[in-house]
Amino acid sequence: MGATDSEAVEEAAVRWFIRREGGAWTDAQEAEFNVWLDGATAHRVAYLRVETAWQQSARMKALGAGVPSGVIPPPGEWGNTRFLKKTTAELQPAPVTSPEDSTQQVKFADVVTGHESARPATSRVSSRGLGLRFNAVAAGLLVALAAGAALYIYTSGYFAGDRYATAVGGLDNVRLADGSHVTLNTDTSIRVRMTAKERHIDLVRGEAFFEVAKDPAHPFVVYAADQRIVAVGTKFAVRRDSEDVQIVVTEGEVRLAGADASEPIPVPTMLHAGAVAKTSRKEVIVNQDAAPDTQRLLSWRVGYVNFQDTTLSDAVAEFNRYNTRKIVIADPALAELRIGGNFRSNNTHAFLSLLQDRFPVTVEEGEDQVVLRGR
Amino acid sequence: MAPADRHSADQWFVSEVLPHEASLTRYLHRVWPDHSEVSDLRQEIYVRLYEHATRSPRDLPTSVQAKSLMFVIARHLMTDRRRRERIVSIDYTQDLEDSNVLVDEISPEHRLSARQDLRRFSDALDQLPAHCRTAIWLRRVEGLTTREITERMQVSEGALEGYLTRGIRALMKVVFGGTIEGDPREDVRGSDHGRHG
Repeated sequence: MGATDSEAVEEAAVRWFIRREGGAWTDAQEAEFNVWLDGATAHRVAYLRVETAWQQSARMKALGAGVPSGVIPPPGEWGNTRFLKKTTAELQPAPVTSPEDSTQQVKFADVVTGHESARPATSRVSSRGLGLRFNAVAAGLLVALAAGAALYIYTSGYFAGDRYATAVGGLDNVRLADGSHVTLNTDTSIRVRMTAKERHIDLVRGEAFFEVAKDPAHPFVVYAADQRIVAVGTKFAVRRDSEDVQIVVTEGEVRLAGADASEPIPVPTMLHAGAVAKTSRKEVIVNQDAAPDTQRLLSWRVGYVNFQDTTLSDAVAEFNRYNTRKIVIADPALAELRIGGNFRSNNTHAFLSLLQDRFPVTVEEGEDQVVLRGR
Repeated sequence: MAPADRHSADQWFVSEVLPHEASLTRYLHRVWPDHSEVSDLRQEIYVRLYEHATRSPRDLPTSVQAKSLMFVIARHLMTDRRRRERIVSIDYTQDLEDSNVLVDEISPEHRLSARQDLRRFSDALDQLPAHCRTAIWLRRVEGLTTREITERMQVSEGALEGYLTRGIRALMKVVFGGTIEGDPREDVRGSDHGRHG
């Protein structure tokens, strides 16, 4: 049977796409393409389908994780990619509610904790335009998923931005299309949109470390609570706990500004390497000389939590970020005990052993939680 | 149409219409007996929808409107075609009415986990002939240019274009899903009146 009309049009669209995105493309060729594109609405629609499918297939890059360049795994080998070898808990997708729900809520159920949170999808990207011509910035929406447990979350809005998240206890690294790298800590969710104006990152929850590729034409801006953190070519971490934001800069410079456009223009705060800033509802405390602290605050990147004269209640809260079985302090008197040390974030056992050995604490380990009582 | 309007129309189509393709395709398969015509039907629906919506590019249909419009256009189109083909069958008319009910009920689009999505891509890749699979891998996973791939694979650009065409069309099937009987993602809902293609 010969190809139907729509199949012929689809094939033509695919061939145009391949040639146009193949690497060498002249203005004369672009003119020819536009003649075809404008020739029929069916051509335009077909081309949009091809572009869309191509962008959605970006996640395939994860298949290459851990595979040396030039090597192509034989069929059936996908199960051996590093992506699948990670054992962190997987976020379970839940049904997307219909578009009739005007807030377009996407619900996530964390299978391990049974905790459900509704995350509203924000407005669609419009400033980038569909620019049928792919360029490096436009391709920013095709975010490459590097190996590991940071899951690419597929929302119903094709251009609502790309989301990455880790489960409790997760830790992962993602390479963005602009060359930047983002390390996501436990229980973290970010959304990435490359627009014509800026590289827009929403830190929805959790903590992330950013290694920003230089692109002066497009500032890299992290939005967290009511803060806007602007970088050009730097390394820094942002941690969000509801409305409190902590910024640690290890290289280069970032500018901290409020995100609320209706406020009178505040003086932005410049943070240099070695600075730690904490903000809480517009109040900002900056320590520009916190270099010894920065390593401690970033030890999570190598899977450790570090305490130095930290209260037990703070230490417990920190551990609880990384573990689904939470530690609870039953006796308020214990809360002010001070502890120090370096612990693997997912090894509560070592931490609890230490407590029992050195402090007047009994540890009751249950299925769902661990209770600390005074002796 | 001014270029800016053209851009927003295209963007509208991608973000408000294409996400419903799987749902539309399932519907067409359910209601139109000749499955080989579904692709043409869908194309025609898209063309009519795009042209209708873009008559006023500053006032594009909302997400909700887009989906309803899509199905309304689908029903009109099929009714027209049946009349032209002079198919007289009470069953068919009946089906069209029944399927109105099914369509108006919004079926949740179950999102697959990232792992399942990746698996679908991987399976599609695995089913391609070796050259196509290699070409798609080098292009999509490694991101090589056409020139680099032709050098690596020692094939002509024309041949490569053929491999990539086949590969990309396979990827499009993964992305848009739609109905393939036996496809585990098929939303089996309502009766098919025993009509399988």
